[in-house]
Amino acid sequence: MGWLVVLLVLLGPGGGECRAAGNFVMVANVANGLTSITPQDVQLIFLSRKRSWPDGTIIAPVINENTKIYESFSYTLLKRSPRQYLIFRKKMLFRGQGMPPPVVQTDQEVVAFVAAHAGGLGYVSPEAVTPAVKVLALSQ
Amino acid sequence: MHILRNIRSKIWACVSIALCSYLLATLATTWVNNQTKASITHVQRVDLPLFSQGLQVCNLFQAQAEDYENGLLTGEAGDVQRATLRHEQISPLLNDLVRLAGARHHELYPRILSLRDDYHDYFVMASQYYLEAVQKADIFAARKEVHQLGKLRAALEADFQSIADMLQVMTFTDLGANNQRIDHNTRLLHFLFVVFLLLTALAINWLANKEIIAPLAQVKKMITDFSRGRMVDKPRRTEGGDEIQELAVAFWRMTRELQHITVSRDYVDNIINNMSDSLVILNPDLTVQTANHATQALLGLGGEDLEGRSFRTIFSHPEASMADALFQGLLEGKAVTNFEALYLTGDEQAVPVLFSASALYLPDGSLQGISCLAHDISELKEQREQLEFLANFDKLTGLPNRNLFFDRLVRTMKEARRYGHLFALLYLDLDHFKPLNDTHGHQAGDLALQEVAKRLQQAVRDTDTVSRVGGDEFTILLSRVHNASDAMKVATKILEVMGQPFVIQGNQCVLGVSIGICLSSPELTSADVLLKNADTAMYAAKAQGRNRFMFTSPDQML
Repeated sequence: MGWLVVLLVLLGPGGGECRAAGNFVMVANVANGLTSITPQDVQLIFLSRKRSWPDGTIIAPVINENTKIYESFSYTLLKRSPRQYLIFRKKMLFRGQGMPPPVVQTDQEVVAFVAAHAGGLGYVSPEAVTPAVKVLALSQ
Repeated sequence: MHILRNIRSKIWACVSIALCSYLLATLATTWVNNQTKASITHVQRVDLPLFSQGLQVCNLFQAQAEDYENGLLTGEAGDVQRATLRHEQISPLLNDLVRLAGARHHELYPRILSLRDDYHDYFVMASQYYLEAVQKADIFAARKEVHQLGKLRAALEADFQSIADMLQVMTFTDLGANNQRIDHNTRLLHFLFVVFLLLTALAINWLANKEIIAPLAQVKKMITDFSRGRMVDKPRRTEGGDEIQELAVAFWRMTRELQHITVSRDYVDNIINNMSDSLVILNPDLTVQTANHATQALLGLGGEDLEGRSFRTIFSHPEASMADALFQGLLEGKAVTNFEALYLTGDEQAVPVLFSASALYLPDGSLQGISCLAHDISELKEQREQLEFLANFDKLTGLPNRNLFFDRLVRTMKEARRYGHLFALLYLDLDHFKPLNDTHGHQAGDLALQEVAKRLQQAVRDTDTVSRVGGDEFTILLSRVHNASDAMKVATKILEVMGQPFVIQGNQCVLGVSIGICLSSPELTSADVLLKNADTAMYAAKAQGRNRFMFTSPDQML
């Protein structure tokens, strides 16, 4: 299964043409019934447009500011720079339109957060994945 | 209407009605304007200030929010301070709004009040959290509070916007209502104007008709009646009558006066038509203009037949030249008085009249016509002829009496002397007349005398004159004889006719006659002597044995 994930990650973000330096994988709580997620859903969730999983669980996204993968994630899935995303979150918060996701600095914190929240969703470097979390493939 | 006692006050009454109407219209306009003014004042003092301040505070609040946002996004503390400064403007404006809405019991007052309170709560939190966030340069430090504050501000902003919108809507609604009210008032004023105009016109018309036109119509009727010769009724006198009524009464008095001092035409017509004499008025061309009833009765012609007829066909005079001169004189203005003339009736009968005429002149001196007065004297003439007859003729026999006989005798004598011819006078006396009278009565005697007269007239020529000069005495004047034998022949014929028996009242009797004849001679110049001579000869004949004739002297028989 490991090679499949790697393949998927390699293909997924940019079809082999990654702007970012590092690759990442989407991780969810093990209780999550899904096995894959679309990039559109990822974008909607991190922009606070989509708030619950199909089974009704509140989605709890977490932002990983690990510099190795943050920019890659921001550009490929959110279609904006990390600064734009920051301003977006500030405006959202200021206007009361929604609560922006919490921010962590390391992959380990992400894994811990996702493992702790049933609706958790995060992204980490592939080598940081542990059995405590479930990797979600990025489907097209 | 005791006040309206003269025309001036009546006209003023009409003017007053118009002025009252004008006053009412002005009052109505004032009332309507006041209503509009109140409405506009409301807009001016409540709607517009609320609207403008609501809008202003809404804009300020939005600007404040932007300042905060900028501050948080850029991390500039100046923005947050500016936002705080905005609060210094927003707060008094909100207080003003609350005061204004509260004073006018505005329907949005509760909402404005709660808006102010919400804003103050918000501002207390915002000034604190946002300042902290900027100072820490980490907005996410107090994520939950900032998020709540954001929601609160969004709600507040919506509230500000909503109240500003509602104030705007209310202002425009009130302005629209004002427009409608003005339109409505304009229509109302138009309607009132038409109604007032109609009512005023009707009222003035009614008043003018009742107080001026109707009384004048009464006066006009009086004048018309009077001009047509009708009696004028006394005008109704009401208390406090005006000049028109005074005029009516004065006119009525004048008609009374005129009736007293003027002879009416009817009266004159009546006199003219009832006079017994004929009166004809001629035109200057001598045609008949009018003729009275007496004329129509006298001539047996109707008024239409007479009118226009030439007077020459009516008037006649035995001497034509005389009639012409008469008419010429009349046309020249000469009067004619008691001229005996003849009027020709419709069936060409002549009626003797006593004719008087005089010319009539117009005021300018021209001839207007001629008035002809004629008195019927036919009866008078008959009476005069009767008298003349009685004076000269014997009533019983119709023969000339002694008077006429003498007259003719004298005339015959004069003619005989002038022309040198002879005439003879026979004096007759009936024989045995007295016994007849005594035996058979006077009536029989009268009948006998009438028979004698008839026989004597038949026995002589038409030119001879048989007269009765006494009871049974007759004379016969033979106006022309050649000699004694002519007289003898006549005498013989008389004796012959008188010898025939008389039948008087069925009784046959014989009367004789004794005749004395006197022939004229130049020496005999006295009628009395002549008559006496004949009388003497008659007595001689009686003495000779009656029923014979005798000449005055034997030599006359030669």
